[in-house]
Amino acid sequence: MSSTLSKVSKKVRKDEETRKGLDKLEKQLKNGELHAGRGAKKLPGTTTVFYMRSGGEASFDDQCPVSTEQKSKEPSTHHDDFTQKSKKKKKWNQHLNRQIDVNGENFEFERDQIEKKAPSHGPEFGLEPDYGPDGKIIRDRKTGKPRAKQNKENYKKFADNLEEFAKDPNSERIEPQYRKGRENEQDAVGFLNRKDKRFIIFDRHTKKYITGWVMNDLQYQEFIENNNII
Amino acid sequence: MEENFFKLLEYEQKLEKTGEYLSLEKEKELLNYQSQISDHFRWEKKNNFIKAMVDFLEDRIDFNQYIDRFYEIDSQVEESKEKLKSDFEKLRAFEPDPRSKGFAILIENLFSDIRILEPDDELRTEDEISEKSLRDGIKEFLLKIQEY
Repeated sequence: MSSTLSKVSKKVRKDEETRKGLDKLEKQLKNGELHAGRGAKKLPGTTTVFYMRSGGEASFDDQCPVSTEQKSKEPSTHHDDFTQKSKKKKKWNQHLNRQIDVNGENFEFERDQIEKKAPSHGPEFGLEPDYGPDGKIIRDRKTGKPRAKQNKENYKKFADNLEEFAKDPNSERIEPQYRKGRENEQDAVGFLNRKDKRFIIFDRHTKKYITGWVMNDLQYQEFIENNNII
Repeated sequence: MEENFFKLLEYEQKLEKTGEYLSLEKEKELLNYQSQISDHFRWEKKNNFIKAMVDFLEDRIDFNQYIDRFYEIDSQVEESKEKLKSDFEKLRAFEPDPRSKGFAILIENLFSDIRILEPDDELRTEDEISEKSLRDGIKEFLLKIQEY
């Protein structure tokens, strides 16, 4: 294990992939191959540690030293190190994945998917809606429904509430198709509360959480008539 | 609307008080009546939906504007539905246009695409679609919608 990055928690270091990643990162830092990127600030008292606020002007992709103009002329795979942010994030988040058992059947909530769905579907599973400076509820552009804040507390609560929903005796087990006949159709398995039309679904084969929300009448009719969730 | 619709609504409300549900058969019947209302009011806005789709396909608006326009049109649809449902006499006299049958679910499929749009290639997960796929979906459904 590298000396520079030795102050990483024991739990993180136990993971072989993470350890390799940290060693590679140290090598890149020593060779000056990494640039902190737009929006990054040097951590006081250090020479090689930078930080940036999430959700602001900076993003992981900003670390790429190739200019945007140059990038557009290159094939999309121009630098693997800088174009795999979702895959890298997935690895970092792995220890936050959650396995649950529902009547002897195992399911998994991957942290990445929880983080993705919590803002848009969280309020339908017990999260507080977020309010704008004008005091009005912020609506999610893609669902038209109230949006929840993106933070660790909400991600945990969202996963807790989904787990509770799946284990609730009022939730019936279902085996629908997700987006039948459309792009990325998936065989699904999940749970539905017929009273409030809330459901969650998992991939039927991998048992990984896909999504879930409160169905409107048309979506519910499509489910009842064609066993299809759209 | 047919008398049976009101009977089913009444029966459903009665069951709700005791924590029971309609049978699957009766539930289907009720959903069928409700979808007739959705079909009618979404169909009435057919040209607005088509305009938003074409404007997006022809790059007069971006995907964010397309999404906003779709929700704006549908909020008008919801308003009309609520107005009808709150007026018992009007609801009783209401007859959905038979030409609208099956229209609302086409629009619902487009909302499904909007919900899972992830334009960023690097953030897109298995259950999400690209802007190109969103466009392909619109092209596919535009033909069906124009047939109405």
